[in-house]
Amino acid sequence: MAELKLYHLPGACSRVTMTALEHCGLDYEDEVVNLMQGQQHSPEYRAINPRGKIPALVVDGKLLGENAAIVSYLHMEHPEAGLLPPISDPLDGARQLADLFSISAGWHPSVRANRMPVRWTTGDPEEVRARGKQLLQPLLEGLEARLASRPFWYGQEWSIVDTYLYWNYTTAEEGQVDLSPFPNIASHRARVEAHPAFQRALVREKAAIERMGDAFYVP
Amino acid sequence: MSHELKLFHGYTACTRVTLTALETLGVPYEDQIILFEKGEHKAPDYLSVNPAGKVPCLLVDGQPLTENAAILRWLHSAYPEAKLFPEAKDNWERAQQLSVLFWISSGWHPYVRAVKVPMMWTVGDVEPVRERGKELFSGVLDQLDAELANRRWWFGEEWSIVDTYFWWAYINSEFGGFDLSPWTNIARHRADNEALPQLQRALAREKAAYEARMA
Repeated sequence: MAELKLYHLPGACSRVTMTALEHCGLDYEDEVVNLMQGQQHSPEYRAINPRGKIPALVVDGKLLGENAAIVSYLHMEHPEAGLLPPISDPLDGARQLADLFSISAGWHPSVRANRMPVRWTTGDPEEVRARGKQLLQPLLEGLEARLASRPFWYGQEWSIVDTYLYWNYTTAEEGQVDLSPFPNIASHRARVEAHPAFQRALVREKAAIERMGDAFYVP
Repeated sequence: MSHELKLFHGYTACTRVTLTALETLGVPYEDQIILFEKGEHKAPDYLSVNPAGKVPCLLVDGQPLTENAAILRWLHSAYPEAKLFPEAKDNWERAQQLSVLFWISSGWHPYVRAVKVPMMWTVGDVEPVRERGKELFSGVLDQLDAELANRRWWFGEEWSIVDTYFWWAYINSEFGGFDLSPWTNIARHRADNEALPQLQRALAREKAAYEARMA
């Protein structure tokens, strides 16, 4: 068995990676990188991941960066776990990949504009936050419409794409986006929260927060 | 197996990378430029092809595929002999190829936007966004420049479409007034990219499509 170690921060998009690891039933270590204290820029962490980002998965001492690449790797290695639905042809597979790119490169930077607008400006963050809300509106509307006819993104079954979307819209909510006009997203949220692997990831995050002590709350 | 391919692209957009990939294959394809300045990306005709109103979108035998990097991966799987990516010997190498694509599309590309079109990230004053974009962009340029100190192309001695994706990102920051001259390995990488016949053919195709519509 490969030795796995996830570098993460409770509440960050690494929650999705952790859910994927839990869903595959893998043993892994986890270590917090405290972004509030800028630990991602420390020489110690740069030695592990030169890009200074989380999540990062270290497999037998070798680094794999980027959330959706880690999820794809886990899916390739453990197809039976069902992180993504089975595909009928390569175009289907490319469409799944397109969904992951759309979330990581479309949703996530827009969510950042809402939740962490200071990441996008040296000036008034509220002007960026307002733009973030504009950018998210069509994404939320599109998701709401799709979920009208199905419980999960791909249909009847959960996939990691659901948890990735969930992380985006719940984080947007922390950035003052009002989700109340979206009842289908509200139901989706309840279904994603009920997923056992997600619950286990939350327990694991809670343990990490306890290890951090006050550092989790005090920048 | 041969496919009927049609690419929807935009002027100077990241579709330059998709066009370069198609030119590398050496198979026939149709292309249609979507003029953002005329609002064609929000027109019903295009929204019926891609409801997200974004480019690129590749029609594969009439079926739409979106997201640049997903298109590149599909082209690689359908036309492996074109070597858009190096041969991967296992899932780990495949995942590393995906990782760099996710880094560019979710990291570099949004930073380019902040430098080139900062109004994409704000409803107010664009200058603080551009300033922040330059900080963010300098950070990733430092990382790429350091990597390219040891090798000619991203994956080593052979070009891959990832190199042209990087090329697109950094030259677009220059369109936003960013000075690339401090990064010398990137300057060499740029010259190497611009010497590629498939890249030149892609630029010619883009220009022809644009001029035909603007005439």
